[in-house]
Amino acid sequence: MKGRIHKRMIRRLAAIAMLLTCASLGVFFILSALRENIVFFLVPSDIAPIKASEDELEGKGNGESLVGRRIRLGGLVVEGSLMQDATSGEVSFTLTDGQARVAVSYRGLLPDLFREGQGVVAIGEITSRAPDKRGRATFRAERVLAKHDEYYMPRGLEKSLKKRSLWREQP
Amino acid sequence: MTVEIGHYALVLALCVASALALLPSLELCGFFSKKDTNDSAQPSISANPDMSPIYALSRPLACALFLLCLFANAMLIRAFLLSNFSVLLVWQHSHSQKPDLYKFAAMWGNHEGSMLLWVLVLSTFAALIAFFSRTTRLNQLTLAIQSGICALFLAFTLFFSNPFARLYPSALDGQGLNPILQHPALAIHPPLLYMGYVGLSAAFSTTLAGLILNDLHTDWAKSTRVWTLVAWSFLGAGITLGAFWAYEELGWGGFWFWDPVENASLMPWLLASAGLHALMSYIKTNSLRSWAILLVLLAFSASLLGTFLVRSGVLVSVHSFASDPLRGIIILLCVSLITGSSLCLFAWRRLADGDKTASTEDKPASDRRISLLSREAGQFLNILLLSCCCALVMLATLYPLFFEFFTGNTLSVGPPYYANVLTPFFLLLVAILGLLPVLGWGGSSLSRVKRYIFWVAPIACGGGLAMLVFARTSATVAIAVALGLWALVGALRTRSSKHARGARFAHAGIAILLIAVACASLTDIEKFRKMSLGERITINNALSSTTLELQDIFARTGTNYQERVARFAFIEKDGKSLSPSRRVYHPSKIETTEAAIDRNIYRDIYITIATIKRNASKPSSELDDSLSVRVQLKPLMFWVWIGAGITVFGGILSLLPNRASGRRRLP
Repeated sequence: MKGRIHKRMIRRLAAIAMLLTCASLGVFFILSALRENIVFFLVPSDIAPIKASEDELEGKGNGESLVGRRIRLGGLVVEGSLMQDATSGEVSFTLTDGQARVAVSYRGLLPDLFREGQGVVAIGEITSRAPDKRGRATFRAERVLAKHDEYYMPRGLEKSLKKRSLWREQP
Repeated sequence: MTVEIGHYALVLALCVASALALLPSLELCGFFSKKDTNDSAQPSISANPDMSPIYALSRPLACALFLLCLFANAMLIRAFLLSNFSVLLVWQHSHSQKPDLYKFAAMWGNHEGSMLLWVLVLSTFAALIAFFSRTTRLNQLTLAIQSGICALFLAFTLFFSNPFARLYPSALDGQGLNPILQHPALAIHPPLLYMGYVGLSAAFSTTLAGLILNDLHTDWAKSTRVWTLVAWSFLGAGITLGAFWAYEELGWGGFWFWDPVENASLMPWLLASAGLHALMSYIKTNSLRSWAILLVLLAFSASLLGTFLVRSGVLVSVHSFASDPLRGIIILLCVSLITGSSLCLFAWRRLADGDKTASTEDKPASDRRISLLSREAGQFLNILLLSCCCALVMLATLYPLFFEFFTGNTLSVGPPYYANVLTPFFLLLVAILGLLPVLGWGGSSLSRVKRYIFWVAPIACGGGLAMLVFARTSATVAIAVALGLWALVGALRTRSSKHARGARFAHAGIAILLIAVACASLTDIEKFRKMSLGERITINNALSSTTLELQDIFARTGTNYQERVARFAFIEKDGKSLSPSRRVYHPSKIETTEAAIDRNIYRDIYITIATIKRNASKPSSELDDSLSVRVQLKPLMFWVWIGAGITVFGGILSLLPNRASGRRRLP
């Protein structure tokens, strides 16, 4: 009798150990998948142009280099910056948060509510943080989102604009 | 005037709902009781139809509750249809020039109106419970809990989001509905989705009542299954319509974006699917009861959580409504109250049961040894996988919230996370699906399973290989197609199948969905170019090629919009053309992209156009003859809708009485 219980205990313990191992492996893979696919919301001054030597960024992105990482970039479209390539149809525009500027290039259709002077979110990756001719970092967008409804403002951008007291209420 | 009557109806409804919720406690306090109340733990009582006379009130009251809510809704709809701009809500969300269908739909295209609809659906289910179930203690308590939830939301509607608030002085014309919502699919999407979300409340109430009475037996399982099935079907239909709307209206060519709001509707669906399978297992073999209870409770909690996420606007979402933090907090309080209390009760019952189960006669079968090759084992794995999927979706949906709360940084989780993490679970799920026809309740012989695998596996592998060789797709798509075929053959096989009719349809639908989604989202091709009049664009994959010519660009005026249309003619097919456009809606000056889609059973061609606008103040009126064009080729896109439709149909079919048992009433 005692031996049987003992055996059962061992079997149960083994099963529990197996289960725990599998579960922790699973959790590990899932968390790493989550970590890899986190898309930070940044504003232009977070990715202000810097010299090649110091492309580490404190605070955001756990100190990793942000170049080549997928991010969401929120900012206001600078008036008069929207340009379209005549043959390829590729568009480019400048995003700002009042401090820094980022040149965004995008191959695709701009959203319905895209306007110069308004807030948009570009999803894509930073191609270079070395300043271009006009002192901007460059960003390649895969998708551009504008306000979904009349009152919508990307939340991260609103916060950041308020911090720099550049926020103005929508009319 | 009618608006105030609607408001009063809502107040009355709150009183009625509270009264209904309090009926059982009145009885407990000793009012109206004829006989001495026995120990409620005895299941024999719950079968006793002659209960305290006070319950004679419950049906009229439930009926009154439903009618009052219906009346309040009708009054609001009337205000919308008549464009009564002295009502704040109508002024904010409607416009006199809008087509009637969208005036009607505008009622639930906003927070207050949709809460009113939510309450209506809650009361509908209360009435259904009152009228379609026998008067047993369990059902009476179910009704009371349902009314309690209804009262909670009625109070929320009245005190924090009153849809009947007036605007003084009244306006001449409304501000217009967000034109992106002007689509027939969206006119019926919210009611369907709400029937699903709220339908889960009926299953929740039944389960909570059972937990309180400690009376969770076959009766409970059968009626819970019916409610869950109803909700599951509606939810599936609602999600499908939402995806269809996004595909047609957003102009991105995608139909699912793993957006928090979409996830919010997916989570209850996953949990309800898992719950259905657990309930089935309990009904057939007396196993997995705790899972069934837990999943039913969680499914409704997930739908409440979804409401919170959508309504409070705490998440960064493309679907975000303009939001009010106070409402968010109140909804969160309601959610935690309902969820927390039910889960605590469940835990307490489990702990209390823990000592007893060893001695009771109907020992749960979970202690019995379950054969690996049995239906129960399949169901159990299925439940585990579905719950895991839900947990993974929830993790990624809530993670940004916690992250922002603790660190202040805003982030979101990219779609690749969902694709990477969910794909293995889903593929495994479908692999099990294919085995179901040979797995019987209680166990099957190994040789039979082997014979079946040898028969089906070649078909599945053949399909996968064909995809690799002829369509030159990636390995993931080939595996998805192989597994899809594997499950499809399993579901369609009629000879000596252990499947019920409805389940077979639902599973076939899921298999079709897997194949179609894999092909449409992983093998699609996109071309983007600037085009002038007379230019041609060709889009082709390994199996087909289409050439389109930009023939014409012209302006057109619709009921409440003006649009700029481009006409593309198919070169291969004479006379056929596609006309995508850009619309500007009148009251709001909002522009939308109207995609043009050519569908057939092999592929969708999806065209959107854009013009460059320099500034908001200078509208793009100058009609130049070139525009940016995006053409997408989406293989098997049509079958995404068919697959989803068949799945929902399977749910409805399961609701119909089976050949053998033609029972009308709920147990």
